[in-house]
Amino acid sequence: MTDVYPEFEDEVAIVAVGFGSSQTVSVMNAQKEKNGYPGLFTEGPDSMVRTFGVRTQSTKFGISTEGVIQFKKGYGTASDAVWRERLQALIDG
Amino acid sequence: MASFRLPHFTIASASGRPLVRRPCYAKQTTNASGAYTPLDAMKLEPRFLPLTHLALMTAVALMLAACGGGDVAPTAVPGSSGADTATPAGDAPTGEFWRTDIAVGDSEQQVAQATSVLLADGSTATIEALAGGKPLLLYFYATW
Repeated sequence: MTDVYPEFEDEVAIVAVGFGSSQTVSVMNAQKEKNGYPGLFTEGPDSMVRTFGVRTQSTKFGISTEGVIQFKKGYGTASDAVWRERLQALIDG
Repeated sequence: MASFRLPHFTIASASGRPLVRRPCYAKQTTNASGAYTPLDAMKLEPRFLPLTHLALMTAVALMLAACGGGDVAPTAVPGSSGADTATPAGDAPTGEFWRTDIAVGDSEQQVAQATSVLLADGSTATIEALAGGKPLLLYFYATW
């Protein structure tokens, strides 16, 4: 996804949310710098994990311009082609 | 449905002689001489449930109604997922970008809750505002 995102960075926003007591915003941003991850790295409240029904790390939500959840994917790898398709679908609505 | 509770009935012979006695929900009649009425001619006389039974049934019905509160369908109130009552009201979609006419939730085709997150500069912003009208890839990340 890191390789694919530059193609979409003008059209899709990425917000990474750290969760758990050790995932502070500074820890998250250090990780972002270290690995060259795209997007905005933030720290979410503990309640956010419950609100979004997150059970594993690396859970990803695709949310439309209207705020509607288009997909919810748990931990797992996906090919660049799959990510390209997912991001394009988000743009197309 | 009307409910009658009568103590017993007795299957009687044609002469009115009792043959079998069973618990019953109707009162069996007897003729003038006291013999049981034959089954095919039996007249049922309803009796109402004792008050103690009515009180017990009412109590059970009230308890079931109280326990059934969790089955109430979620209301499509923007900003209220029902899953996290501790979330500040300010985390509801503002309507600037995100819809407010669909239920907030964590599943596909529901509106994401516009939760506030902490940014590197110490400020906070909702994920709706951070998306800024674009589609959003929200990534729950952990370094461990």
